[in-house]
Amino acid sequence: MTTVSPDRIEDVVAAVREHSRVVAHGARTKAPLVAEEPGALYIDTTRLRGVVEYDPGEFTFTALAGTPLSEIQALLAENGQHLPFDPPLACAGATLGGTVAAAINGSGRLRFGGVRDFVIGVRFVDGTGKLVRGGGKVVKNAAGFDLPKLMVGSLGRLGVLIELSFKVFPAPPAWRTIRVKCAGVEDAVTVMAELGRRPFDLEALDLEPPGTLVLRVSGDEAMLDVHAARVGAATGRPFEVVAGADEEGYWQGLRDFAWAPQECWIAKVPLTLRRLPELERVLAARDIARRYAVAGNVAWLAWPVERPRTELDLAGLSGLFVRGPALDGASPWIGPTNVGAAIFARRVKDALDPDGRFPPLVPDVRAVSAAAS
Amino acid sequence: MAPINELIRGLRAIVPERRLLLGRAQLAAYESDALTAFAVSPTAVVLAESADEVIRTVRLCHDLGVPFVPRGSGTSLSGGSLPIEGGVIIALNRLNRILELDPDRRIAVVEPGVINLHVSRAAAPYGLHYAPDPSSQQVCTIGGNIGFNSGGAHCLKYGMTANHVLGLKAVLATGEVVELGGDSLETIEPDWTGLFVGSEGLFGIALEITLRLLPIAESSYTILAGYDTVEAAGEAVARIVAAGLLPAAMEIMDAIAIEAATAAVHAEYPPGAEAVLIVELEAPRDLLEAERRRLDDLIRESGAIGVHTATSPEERAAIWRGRKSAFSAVGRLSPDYLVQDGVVPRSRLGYALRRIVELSREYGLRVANVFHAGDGNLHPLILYDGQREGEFERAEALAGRILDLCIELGGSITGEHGVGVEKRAFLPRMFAPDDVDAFHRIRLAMDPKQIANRGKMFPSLRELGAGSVAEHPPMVEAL
Repeated sequence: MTTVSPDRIEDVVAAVREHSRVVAHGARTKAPLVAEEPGALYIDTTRLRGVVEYDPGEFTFTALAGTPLSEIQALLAENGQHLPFDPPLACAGATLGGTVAAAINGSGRLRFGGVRDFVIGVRFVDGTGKLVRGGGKVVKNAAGFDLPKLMVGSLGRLGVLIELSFKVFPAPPAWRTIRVKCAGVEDAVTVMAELGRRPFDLEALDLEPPGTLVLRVSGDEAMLDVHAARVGAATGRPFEVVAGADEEGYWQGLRDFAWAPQECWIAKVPLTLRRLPELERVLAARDIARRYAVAGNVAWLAWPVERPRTELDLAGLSGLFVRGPALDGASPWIGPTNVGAAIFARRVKDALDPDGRFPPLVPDVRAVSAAAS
Repeated sequence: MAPINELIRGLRAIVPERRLLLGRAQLAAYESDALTAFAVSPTAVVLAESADEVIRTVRLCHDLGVPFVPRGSGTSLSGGSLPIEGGVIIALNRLNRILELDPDRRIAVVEPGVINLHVSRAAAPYGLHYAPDPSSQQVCTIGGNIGFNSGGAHCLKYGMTANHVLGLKAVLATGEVVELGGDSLETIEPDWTGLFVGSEGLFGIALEITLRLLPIAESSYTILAGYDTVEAAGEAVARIVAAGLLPAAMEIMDAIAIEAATAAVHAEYPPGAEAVLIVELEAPRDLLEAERRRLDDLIRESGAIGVHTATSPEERAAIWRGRKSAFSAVGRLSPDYLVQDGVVPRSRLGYALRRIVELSREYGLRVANVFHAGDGNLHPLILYDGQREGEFERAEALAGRILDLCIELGGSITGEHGVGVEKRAFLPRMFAPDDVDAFHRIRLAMDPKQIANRGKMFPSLRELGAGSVAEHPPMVEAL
C-alpha cells in the first residue's frame, strides 16, 4: 500500500491524475469507511490543514479538509460560536473533511440540522483530476448545482475533499439535560413523538434503551432551570434535570462513543420513530449495546468484533459501519441497498469519476454483493 | 426536432383534449413567468393531473428529442419557467395533493403542485409548520421551491428549501424514475436529495417530495426600527449578528420601499425614516425575555430614530404586511422592474448599499431595496419603463453591475431565486471554467439530450432558441 501525504493542493491534483485507483482519507478515525483497494494510491489529507478564512462577525469559516475538528472548535469557542451539528470524534482527531465525507452528526443535530445543513462551499479534486469548486463563502447561495451537499456522505467516492466552507451559529450561553424515565420503549416512543411537536427548541432528544429519554435544552442561564423543569413536566413522566460538568461530560461521552464496548464496530442506522420499536426488539434479543438519537432518526449500535457480521440483522433497515477496526476489504454497508437511487448515483459517478478512480458507491452491485458475503 | 404533429399525436394519447393547450390564445398565459421581460411561446401546454401523466410526457419528449419546461405557479423571478420555443410546458399545479402528513415523524409527503403555504396550513392543527416562507408563499408551489432552492425571510435561522427536504421521487429527463433520500433525517448515502434541490429543473421533475416539519414557535417578538440612512440599518444588522443573537428574520426596506408600502397597505413607519429594519425573535416562552432585552439594547445602541414592537399575532402581522407587500407595492411605482437577489458578506452590506445608490445615479434609474439583511441577501428592484427607448437595456446593464459587485465582494449572484434565464451570463463570472464544466457534466449525465428546462443556468444563448425581449411585457405582480 502506497500512501502520500500532500501538503499542497497541486500535489493532490497530480496524484489523482497519475494513478488509476485512488483512496482518500483523513485521520482514519472512521477506519471502516476507508476502502481497502490493493494497488490503489492512498491520499492522506491530514497535512492539508489550517483555517484559511475566519471572520467571526460573518459567522462563516473556510478551512482545508485535513484540519482537525478540535482546532476549529477551539477557534470558534474563543468567539462564542460553535458547529451546531455536534460532530463526533473530535477528541479522537477527526478531520473536517472526514466529517463531511462520512456525513456524521452528533445528537445535537436535532435542532438546526446536520453537517449537510451547515456546509456552504467545497473544493475537491474530481475523478478527472480537476479541481472543482461548488457553493461559496456566504450563508445563502443558490448559484450552480449544490456540490457542497453532494459531498456530504460521498465517502471519497466522488472526489478528494480539499477545502470546505461552513456557516456557524452562536454557541448557547448555558445548557441543561433532562433525564426522563419512561415505562419502556413503546412508552418512550409515544413521549418522543409528543415532544417532537412541542415548541421547546430541544437541542437533543435521545433514547437510552429501553426507556430513558435524554433531552437537552439551551438558553440564557437566568431562566433555563424554569424552562427545563417545564419541559420535564410536560412529559408527564418522572424526570431529573442535570447541569454543570456532569451535563457537558455526558454529551462529550456520546461524541466519543464512550458507551460502546472496546472491541466493536459502531454502525449508524438511519431510522424513523415508527420503525424504532421493531429494531429495538431485534437488537435487545441479541444483547447488542445501542442508543437512539435525534428523536428516533438514527440508531447507533456496537457490534462485537468477535461475532460474525453476517448475523447482523437490522430488521430490514440499512446501516453503515463507521467506527472500529478496518473491515478487511468487506463493504461498510449493511442491509438492503436503496435501489431507487441507483440510477441517479451511477449518473453522478459517471459525471465526476468516469474512469472509476475512486472506490465504488453504495448502490454499486459490487458493494452490495460484498455486504451480503 | 420531431415534427410537431408527431408530438401532438403523442400528447393526445397521454391527456384528454381539454388538458392539452395548443392555440395561441390558450398558450399566451404561459409565455412568461414573474420575470416579465422575457416571453416565449411554447408549442403545447400539458395540464398534468397525475405523476403517471408527467412521466409519460417526459418519456415522449425524450423519445422525440423535444425540450420541456416544468411549471408550477410561474412565480420565478429568474425566468426559471420561461418556455422553450418548440417545447412543451408541463404544468404541475393540478398535482396538488398532500399525500401524507405524519405528526409523529414530523413529515409531509406532497406532490409538486402543492402550494407552499398549504403545507403549513395542513400541519398547523398538529402544532407544526413548513419553515421556508418565500414572499410568494400564497401561490408558489413546492415543485418550484425544489427547483430553485427557494428561501424566504426566515432562512436566517431555519435554512432554505434544501434544508427541509428529506427525500423525493423524481422522473429524470431520460424518463427513468428515481427515489432519493427517505423519511429519516439521517442517510448513509451521498446527499442525492441535496444535489437535486436547486438543480433548476435540469435533471427532471420531482413527483413526490418528503418535507420536514418543525414545531410552530411558542412565542415571538418583532421589532421595527427606523434609521436615517440605509447604511445605518445595515450596520445595526452587523451589530446584532456579531452580538451572537440568532433572530428568525432580519429584513431591511429602504426609502422607496417604505414609500411604496405606505401607499399600498397603509403600513406605518417611524416619521423621517429613510430605512427600516425588522428583526424577529422566536423562542420558548420562558427563554424569549432574555433575548428580547438584549435585542432592545442593541437596537437602542444602533441609533434607531423610532421603534415599533409587536408581541401579539395581530401586531406582528401588521409589521410583516408592509414587508411582504413591498415587492408588488414597488411595482406600482413603475411600469416595469427587474429584481436581483445577489448575496454579499454581511459585514459588507453597508458598502454594497452605498455602491448600489451610486450605480442608480450613474444609470439614471431608481433602485428600491427590500431584502433579507440577516443573510446578506440583497433584493435591489431596478425600476424602468420598457416603452422608453433603451431603458430596458440600461436596467439590465445596471443589474449586471450589481451582480459583479456581489462577486467582487466574495458573495453570490443569487441567494434564492436561482440563475434561471436571467443570470446565465454571470455563472462563469462567479465560477471557474472547471467548475462550470463539472456542473455541465452532471447535467449531461442526467439529461444527455439536454431537454429538461433547456436554456436555464448555463450560459449558452443558443440553447434558448428564439426567446426575445418582449416589446412591453405585461406587468405581473411578484408577490
